[in-house]
Amino acid sequence: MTNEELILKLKKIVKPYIQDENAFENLTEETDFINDLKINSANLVDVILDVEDEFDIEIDNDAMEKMLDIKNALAIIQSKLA
Amino acid sequence: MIGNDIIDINFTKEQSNWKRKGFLDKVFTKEEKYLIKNSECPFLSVWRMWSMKESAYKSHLQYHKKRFFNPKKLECFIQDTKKGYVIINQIKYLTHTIFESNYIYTTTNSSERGIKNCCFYIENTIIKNQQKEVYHQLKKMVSNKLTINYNELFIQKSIAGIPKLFVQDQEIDIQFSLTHHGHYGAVSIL
Repeated sequence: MTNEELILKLKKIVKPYIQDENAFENLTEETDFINDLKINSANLVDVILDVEDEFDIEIDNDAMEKMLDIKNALAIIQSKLA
Repeated sequence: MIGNDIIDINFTKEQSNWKRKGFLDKVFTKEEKYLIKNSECPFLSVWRMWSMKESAYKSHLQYHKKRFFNPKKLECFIQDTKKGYVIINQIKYLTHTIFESNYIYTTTNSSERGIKNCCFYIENTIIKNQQKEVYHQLKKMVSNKLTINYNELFIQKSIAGIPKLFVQDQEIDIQFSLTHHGHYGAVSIL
């Protein structure tokens, strides 16, 4: 799957939890889940669980530790799908 | 170092489903899950420990700078209904939690000195407004404490996303922590 395809899927997953529409509309690989999209940290757990369900992968705690922005999320998903 | 975290109880009921499959396993250690399972009110137990973790993490971050998302690495220990501590990479952070009818509030304080807290109601729950209100309260408290004109104070976030307080171009050497969630916000200053 290309990063562009992954970003589209990720955008769909994070949409229910975002609290900054502007940052969401202008989302890039640099976008930070908490600082930019203002996702509540408890909802970041939901994002991770939704990613696991969507891609049928398991994100262990070591991988989760870096799940702070789109770039790292893409890298983690790509490595688990490989 | 100090940290704080507030949880709007009604808001969190709408926003988060802690009973969701996998949620507790991602957030809590085996020992913490045991405490939740055996507590009188698992809901309050979940969110009390969440606020302990957040509060201690904020305190930790001020010194260690490097952000990470791994709630299980922040291990909670409960002493009584108010007191507890969180261990992060072998460092112990003492916590103090209060339960009000509408919110749970935890502070972490590694200093000998006491911290001053102010919890308040926020009418408009849009995130930008919550932040604006919390900044206003911080400036009010610091203005009183240090007798600096409110209008000369401004706040800027560091690269790590931590807010810093300035008067004119000088950073003010004061430890503080800010939190907001739903209809509630709080400021702690040392």
